Amino acid sequence: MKFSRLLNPNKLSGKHAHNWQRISAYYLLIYIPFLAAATLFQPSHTSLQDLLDTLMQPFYLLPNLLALILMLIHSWVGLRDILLDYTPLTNTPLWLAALHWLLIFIIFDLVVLIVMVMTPFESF
Amino acid sequence: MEFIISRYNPETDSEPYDQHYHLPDAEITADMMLLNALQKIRELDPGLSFRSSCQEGVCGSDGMNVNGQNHLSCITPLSSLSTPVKIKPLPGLPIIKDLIIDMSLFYQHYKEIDPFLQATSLNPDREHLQTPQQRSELDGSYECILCGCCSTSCPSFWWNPDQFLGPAALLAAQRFVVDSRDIMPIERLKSLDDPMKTFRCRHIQNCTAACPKGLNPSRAIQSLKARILSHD
Amino acid sequence: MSTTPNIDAPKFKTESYEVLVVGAGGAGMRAALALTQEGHRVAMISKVFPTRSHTVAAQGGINAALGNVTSDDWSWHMYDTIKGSDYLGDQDAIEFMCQQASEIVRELDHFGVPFSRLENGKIYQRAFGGQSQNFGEQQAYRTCAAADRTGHAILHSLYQQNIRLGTTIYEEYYALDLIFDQQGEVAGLMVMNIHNGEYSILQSRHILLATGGAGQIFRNNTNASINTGDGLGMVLRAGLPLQDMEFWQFHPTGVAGKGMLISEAARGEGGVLRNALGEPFMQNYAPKVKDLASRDVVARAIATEVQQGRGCGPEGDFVLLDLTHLDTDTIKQRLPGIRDISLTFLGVDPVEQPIPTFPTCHYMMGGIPTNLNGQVVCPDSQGKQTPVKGLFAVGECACVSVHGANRLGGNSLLDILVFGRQAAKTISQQLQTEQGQPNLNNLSLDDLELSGVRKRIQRWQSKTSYQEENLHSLKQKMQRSMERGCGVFRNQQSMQHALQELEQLETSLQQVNLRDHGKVFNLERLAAYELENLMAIAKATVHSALARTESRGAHSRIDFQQRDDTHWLKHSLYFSAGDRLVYKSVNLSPNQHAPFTPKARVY
Repeated sequence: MKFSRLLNPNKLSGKHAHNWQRISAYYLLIYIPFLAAATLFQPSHTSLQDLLDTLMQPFYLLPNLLALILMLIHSWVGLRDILLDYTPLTNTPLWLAALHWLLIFIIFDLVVLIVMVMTPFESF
Repeated sequence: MEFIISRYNPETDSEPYDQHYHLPDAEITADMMLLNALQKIRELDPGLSFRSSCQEGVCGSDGMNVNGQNHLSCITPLSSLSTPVKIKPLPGLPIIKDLIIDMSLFYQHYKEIDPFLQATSLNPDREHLQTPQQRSELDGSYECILCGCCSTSCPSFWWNPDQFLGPAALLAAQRFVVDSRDIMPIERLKSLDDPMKTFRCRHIQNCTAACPKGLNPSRAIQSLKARILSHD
Repeated sequence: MSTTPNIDAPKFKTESYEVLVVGAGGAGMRAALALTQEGHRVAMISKVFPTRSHTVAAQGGINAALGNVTSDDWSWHMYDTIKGSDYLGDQDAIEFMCQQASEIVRELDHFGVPFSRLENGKIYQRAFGGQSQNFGEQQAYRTCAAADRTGHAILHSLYQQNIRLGTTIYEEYYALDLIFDQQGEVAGLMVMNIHNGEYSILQSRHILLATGGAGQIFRNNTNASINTGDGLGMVLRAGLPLQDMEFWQFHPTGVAGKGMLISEAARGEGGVLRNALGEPFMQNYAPKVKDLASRDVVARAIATEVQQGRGCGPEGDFVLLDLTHLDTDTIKQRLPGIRDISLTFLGVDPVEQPIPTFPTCHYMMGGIPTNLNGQVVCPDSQGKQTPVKGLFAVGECACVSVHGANRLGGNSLLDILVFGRQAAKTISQQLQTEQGQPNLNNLSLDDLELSGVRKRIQRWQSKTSYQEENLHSLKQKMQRSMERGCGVFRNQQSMQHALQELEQLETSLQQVNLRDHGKVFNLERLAAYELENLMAIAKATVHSALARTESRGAHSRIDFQQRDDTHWLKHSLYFSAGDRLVYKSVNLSPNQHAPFTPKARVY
């Protein structure tokens, strides 16, 4: 049942979807160049761990999380619109369900990733 | 000059088929429009059906798909077309016969946006005042001739012809929203605020490319979206 | 029910309405709007989707003495219209129309017509031909305009208001003929659904014809291909007359060789006509108002220049309409539509180059005779003009007559709206007084006189063996005959010749075979019905024109060059049976203003 609710296009559609697409797009438009510049002009990174450490600093943490969330919303709306528009009508629910699971999987992955990155600090 | 015209007669055919026609070059003059060629073809084959009326691009009867793009045949110069000229009915709506489509759905959507001015009550002694600047807001939308070239080129309309209003109806909606004489713009915006109305437009811009009057429905829809958001 | 049903006769579905409006142009839609508003059961029948009607092509504007630009008065408008009509217009009707004009225009503004505006926010008005202040003094600015798309703006707004009220519209239905009952009273209409070729009867005791003009009788015309005078054909077949059919307006500035209209607005905004020598020749024909003389005067001037060898182009067969001295913004803002037409059909940008133009058939001043209330009138046995019960006509198909022998630009949009509304009022009043009387609408088919229309239907459903001609070539021949015989200048010989040709063509039309016998969108059969109407109108024109041995307004005879008020200050009425002509007097007694007595017409 909660499925059908999430697949309900009225949930995040029309004006709201349009708004979220724009908000997330503007944010990512600023955030991505900022992140690129920040990492490029700090040549101290010699390893991935180094980079991750930097990005986990309180100064970066919040914008990063926000970017992740907005990117998820942006891709959910965008991919869903494409599916709604382009897939044959009879297959659309199936595709939307797949997209839904994919997103849940990605979110789960991200949570695990974040937890794993966080844990070393605490366990050591 | 060669023409390939999509034919379909519901009384005899199960589906449309292509028919080839040839007009001798001697009969083609430099300033001829596609409609003139079609009229000549109809002299040879009176069964060929297409709508036409004013023959100067203001009545909007003769929209058709020519070499893959929607045009009004009466203002499409033959010299602008590559041969063979492939002519089909406007896409996305049911075909009645040959190049004639059933536009009822298109008209239905137009009617759904309440396409009429709702003004304060009539004062027979004085007109509404409207500055030239306010009036210029209507330029680019009131000129629509309802030929259907835009909506039938719109993928969003093909996908949901029964639900999505389509560019022509939305352009008309914009025309009334921006008219300073209309007293219902907020109500209009509210009713347009729907996933299947304004926000179904993805700005593919086929409508703007297809409009034979050079109007820009895509921009009008953009402006509608902005107005809906700012009136929230 | 006593008569045996004819087995061959097709059965007809019937529906009944209180009023039928035939035609969905400006006149029909204005009338339908008023009738629906009054709560009557109305159906509007149109052979095209309403916004395809030819009102959509009107460019310049609609006249009303609003006085937004120059001071103005309805009586000045009345004077100009009477003078423009070469004194053949009925003065009571013209007075009525001019008095109503301002209210009609404000009503249009209320309906949503996007009129162009002046800086003070009022409706923009431009100069047009034949308009003056104070009975013939300076130029008046009286034509209310929405750029040069006024007809489009009005037609769409009226359609929109009809949507608002939910008027019943039969789209793409063709009206074949009026149906009368056995007592000879109007009882309905035979219509054909163009989508499936099925015939049905719409019953009604009130029928309003608003079927527009018939410019298709001429080869070069500004009219749409749907302008085939269907209402006029119906009226002639019903044994009723047509009035003043000799008067056809040739618009001075049609696109040379093609016929599309270049609005008088082009001259109103300052455009000038030039001949091959570059002379602004109108000063020789109308020294005072020059290019803004009445349309008949300008059309004759152009035709004369060309005849006397001062035409432009390799064939010397047109003159030039020069706008190049105008401000580019004026052209782009006030005349965008004619710039489009010029660019599309000639590849000429009027900002840079003059437009080749030549007179082309534009408007039918004559039509179905009606009174001020839109009631069709016919002389009774004593010659007294009597309304035909239940039958109304408005717009170009009607002849009230407000245009007389020559219509002023900007008066046709006014005519259709004033009389569209007035006819609706009359019908509405009649319906209210008839309330409580037995409903006469539901007559059985046996009570209706259907033999004539049945014969017509059967004629065009059957196949003949005649192969020499086809419909299309017959139409072309008719158009050429009319162009040669009854053009801007006419004489006895040219018209007599045209008449002979028309009679031959009429015989061929009786024999011609249709090549398409399908039911769905059979446009050839539709063209056949239309051509019958056109032929009848062409004949009415030639007969009326032959008889009128004078020159008046748009009827200019080389063999009778003077206006002859002693013998010809009267309307012609043409009956098709025996090609009979009778005459009726011109109304010279308006109700409020003093009459305008005929004077020499100088611009």
